[in-house]
Amino acid sequence: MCDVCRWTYQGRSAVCPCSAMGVSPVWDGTLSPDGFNASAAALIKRWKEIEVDDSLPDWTWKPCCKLGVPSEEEGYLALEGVYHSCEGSQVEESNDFDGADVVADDTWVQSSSDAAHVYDFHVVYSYSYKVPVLYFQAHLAGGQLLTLDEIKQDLPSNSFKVLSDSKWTFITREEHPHLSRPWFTLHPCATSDWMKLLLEQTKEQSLQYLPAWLSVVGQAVGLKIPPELHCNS
Amino acid sequence: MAGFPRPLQVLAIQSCAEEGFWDALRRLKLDVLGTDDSPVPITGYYTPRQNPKVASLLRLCPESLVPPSASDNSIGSRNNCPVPGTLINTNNMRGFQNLDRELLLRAEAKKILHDIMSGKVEENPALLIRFLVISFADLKNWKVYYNVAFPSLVFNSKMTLLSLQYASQVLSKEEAASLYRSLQEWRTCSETTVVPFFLISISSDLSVSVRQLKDWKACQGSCQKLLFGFYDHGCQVIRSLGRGNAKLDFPGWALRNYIAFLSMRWKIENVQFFCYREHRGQPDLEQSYIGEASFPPPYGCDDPDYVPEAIGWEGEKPGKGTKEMKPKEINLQSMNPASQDEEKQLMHLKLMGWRHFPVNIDKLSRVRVLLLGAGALGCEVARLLMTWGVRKLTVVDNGYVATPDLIKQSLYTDNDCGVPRATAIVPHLKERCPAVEVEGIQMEIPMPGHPVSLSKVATMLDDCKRLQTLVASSDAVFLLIDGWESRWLPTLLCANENKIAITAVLGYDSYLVMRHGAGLGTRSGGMNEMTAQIEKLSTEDALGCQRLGCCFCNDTASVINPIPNGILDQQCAIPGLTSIASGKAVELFARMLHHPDEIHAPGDIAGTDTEHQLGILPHQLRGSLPKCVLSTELGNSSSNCTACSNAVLSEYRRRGLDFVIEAINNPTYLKDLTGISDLKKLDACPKMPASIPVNSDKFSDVRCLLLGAGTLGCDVARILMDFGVRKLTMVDSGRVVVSNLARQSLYTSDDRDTPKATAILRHLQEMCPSVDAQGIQMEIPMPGHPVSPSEAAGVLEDCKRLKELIASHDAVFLLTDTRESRWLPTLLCTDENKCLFALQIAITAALGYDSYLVMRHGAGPDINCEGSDVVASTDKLSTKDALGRQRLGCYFCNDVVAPVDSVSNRTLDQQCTVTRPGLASIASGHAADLFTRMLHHPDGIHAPGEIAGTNGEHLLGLLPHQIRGSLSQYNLLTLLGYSSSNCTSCSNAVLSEYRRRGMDFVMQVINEPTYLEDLTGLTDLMKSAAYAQVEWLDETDEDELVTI
Repeated sequence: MCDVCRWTYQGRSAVCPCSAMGVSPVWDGTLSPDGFNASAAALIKRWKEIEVDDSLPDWTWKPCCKLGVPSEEEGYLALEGVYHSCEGSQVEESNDFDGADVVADDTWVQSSSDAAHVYDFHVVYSYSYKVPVLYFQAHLAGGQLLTLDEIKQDLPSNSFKVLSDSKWTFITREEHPHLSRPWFTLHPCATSDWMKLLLEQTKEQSLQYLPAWLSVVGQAVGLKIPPELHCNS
Repeated sequence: MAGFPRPLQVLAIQSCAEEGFWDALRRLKLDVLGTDDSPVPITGYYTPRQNPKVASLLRLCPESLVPPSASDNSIGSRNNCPVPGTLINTNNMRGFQNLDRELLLRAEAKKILHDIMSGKVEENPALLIRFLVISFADLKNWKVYYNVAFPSLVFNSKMTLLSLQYASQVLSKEEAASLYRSLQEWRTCSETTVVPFFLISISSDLSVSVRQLKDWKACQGSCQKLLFGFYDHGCQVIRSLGRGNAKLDFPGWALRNYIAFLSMRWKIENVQFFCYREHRGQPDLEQSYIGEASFPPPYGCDDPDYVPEAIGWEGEKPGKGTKEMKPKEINLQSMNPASQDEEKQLMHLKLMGWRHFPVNIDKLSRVRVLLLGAGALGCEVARLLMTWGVRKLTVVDNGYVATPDLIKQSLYTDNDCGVPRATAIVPHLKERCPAVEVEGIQMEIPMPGHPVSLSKVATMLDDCKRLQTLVASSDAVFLLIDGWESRWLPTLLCANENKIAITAVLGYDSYLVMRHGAGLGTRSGGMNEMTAQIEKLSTEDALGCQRLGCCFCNDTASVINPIPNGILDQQCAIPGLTSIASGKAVELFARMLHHPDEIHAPGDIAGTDTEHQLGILPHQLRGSLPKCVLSTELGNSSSNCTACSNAVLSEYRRRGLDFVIEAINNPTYLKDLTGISDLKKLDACPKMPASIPVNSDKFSDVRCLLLGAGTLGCDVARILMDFGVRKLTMVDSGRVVVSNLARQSLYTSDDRDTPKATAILRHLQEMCPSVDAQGIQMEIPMPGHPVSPSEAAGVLEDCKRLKELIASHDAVFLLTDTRESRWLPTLLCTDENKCLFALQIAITAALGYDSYLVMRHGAGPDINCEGSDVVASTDKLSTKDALGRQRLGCYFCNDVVAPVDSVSNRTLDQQCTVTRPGLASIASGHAADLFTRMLHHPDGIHAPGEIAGTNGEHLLGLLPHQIRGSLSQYNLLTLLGYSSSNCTSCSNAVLSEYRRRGMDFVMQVINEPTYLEDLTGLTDLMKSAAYAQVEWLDETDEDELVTI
């Protein structure tokens, strides 16, 4: 049995995952770039298999482009077009406006969903902290970006608690490393510390890393992560 | 829902224009498009419905602006089917409002019709959902106003829906399963997944295949049933009825054009269609519709000139005739982080490229400039270089900041006193432009003919070496040192290294700005070749042109120690001269850098034609303030020159620093070497006038009102303080933004978002604690900008306040940036008979953006009666002033149009008042100078206008009425214009009306754009002019001026 990650040989792979991740004997809660890629691929696959909320689309892998050529290795995870409480908005909108104003002489119907809030989440690997970092932004369906105050109103009350209680999740505005535009981000400075606590007892830390990480970060930004994502593979 | 058949109703599609799209447009507009507002092809991204509750949107993202040819399918992906679109981005709000939306929509619809008829759609079905975006990107305020249209053809025959059912209800289990598989296949293949229109053929053995539209002919016959499938973006909409909500579902927008295509191109009247929707990335047959619609082919569409009717503006209420459409508005402020400050500071340079010439920002930011001297000239030049986008500066100076210098040396503040200038200047440059790399070096520049003691020789040798390396590592050198002799060594080094060198010298009231000629060919290789080359030194430079001279070439005297005869002392220069000289020096530098031959460019003389975009590139500029003249001169390198002649250079190359030391220690050495025998003293060294006729009391008592605290406001305030003016009031309504920092000399990054009126106050006090300054944040009421009744009270208040301000000040400076904002102050000043200076930098097609106008307004008309007898007195208003002279004109006297709203139809570069850096400094210098001369003139405001060339009797020199100058042609004109009887702000008609009705009159002018023209008879004048087609109609262009 491996002393570090308590991995035992179970007839699958002969290599202990922590050594496969290339970590030092005492695991420090970080993730290697390869570990990030592997975990991301596993997350995308797993997400498709499990039952998730209707409002959540699929995660996709976006390769980074260098000089217009997509990179083979480097990329980030994206969950784009998440509607915030889309169930309600459509009804209200339709009531207020000409939601389904059917006009006899001509033949088109407009549904106005301009007021709906759409969230985009990106998970980017940080080479300096060696952990994943969550970048996100929210816009009205028409394109106008929301301010942090507007976003805060969308967050469930318990995310407020998470945000205010813990020192490690504060939202700042920073340049998205691959888009060169400012996005909101949860600061990654303490990520490795709590990830260490979270996954110390776990096998296959590398593959389990992103699901476990998401389950925590998701709470802070109101992203519903089904528990099945990281229960078992 | 009504039964079948019924009219076909479809669900409109909506757009989502991401902030990244607008950001990309912003860059494209600034860097590439400029003022070009012709349509741009763009790409939108379409996708079938993904989420059962949310209709999908047509996305516009940063990639949308990438030209389609460059990337074909590579940018499309499963949920990003590229759709062609057109973007029309206007230059201003008025242009946006004036777009004929109906016509544009029909023009796009016509393209669709054409693509249908020509068969292009079969090749690229996405053409059916072509879209149109119209926008106005207000980049100054980070806002975009836009509308999106998805044109849908409307014909004289109607589309009728015959049936509509979910696919799962229509198809058999086997068919459904087979269709599911085929659709999955279609959606996984990268070639087909981006094609939103397709065919579904169901053969008799219930197997289903999905095929491209172009295979239509092949499909016929081979299958039992043919469905026309398309990606449907729509979802259920909930519609409130009387008692509750009903869920309604409609096919998506794309169906209409699809049916039109099928009917008109393939003559299929009854269309079986399939609305493809997805759920979590898989075909959702539960909610995908299969239906049938009939559409008899319309008639009369075959004519190639036929323009179809169309619907499809997003946000338009359906079916209500021509309608009001509110533009969508998007605020980009959140994309405007501090990290883009640098970009914003360079925006004015990019905007120069829109109309004038493309500024080589790259080159300017790479060039390393060495500034020798950090005094008054050094401060100004360093700041202006940053405005030009120069980012690498090295400043060499040996002095310390002293209290009396604060006013003259624009960058230093009270806290810097006693600090070496080379150290103090660094943070001040950084706080104006964080991106600048600046190094300050405290060092004395060795001077010839100043022998040093043996103990100091080592230090001096170090200094020489240091200067050698500094010059070698720089691309351009500015010689801004006080002492004449200290320019010798840098001149020699520059000539030797073939570096751009620019000298600015100030006299008491005149200045000389020159660029040094190129060195002798190129120096190549090692020491061995050098001796050989020295023999070949010629009077020609590397391009074989005659070398231009340096600042020593014109002097027959050697540079030897002229100190006893009076050095060039900047302290005694007229305030304002520094601004003018440094503006010209920096302009010369920028022009040289943009010249294809750079340092080898031949010297131009004013008046000659030049093909160069930036204007002429003279060798020397000499100007005199009192005479209001500016001349360009050309002087070739002299063979007796003590700094750049062959004899000196070859000796330097041979002996190196030994030669330098000998020149320093032996006063006659240079003379002997160059063969100058006679010892005439420097003539260029201006003599101090016998008496300085400056009345300092007059200055400290005069109360000046500055309207506008922008680029001009900052400069004028500084120069006035330098003259000794201590009572200043600044009026401005704006706040400091990042892009101001580069140009508006007083503000620093700490002032961001502070009202300018407050910020300027702090800085003026920092420079001169004794100044009695006030800042007032107020908008100046403008004619032709109607105000709503709710705002009227505030505007009236502003008018009254302005009236009080003008009444309580002695001189008023008009430094605002719109023409119309000058109207009310002009009127009030004429009424109160106050000195008024209008200062502006003109940007017009005729003049270019590089000319300026400085004028003093004439005195008000003569009144002989007491104020109480107003009615009587208005009749007696004459064209003469109190001294019986003909009144001089005001800013508006030459105009034939009344001031109206000139803001809303300006393009971005006009709004941001793009001018050449340095122009404002020059104009401010002239304005302040004009002011002092007028103040000292015995007649004050009544002084007659003088023209250059005539003999001014006044001690301070010429007192012109207007000064007009052009930077690119290097000319300076003095003009004289008398008050016009049709003037909209100083004519008797206007003035008497104002005196009779007071603020009521002002409010009427503000609210009624044509009132002034009617009152002054300009309307009639224009009519007659229109008949006569007089030449001067063109001239009015010139006065549609825009200022900094």
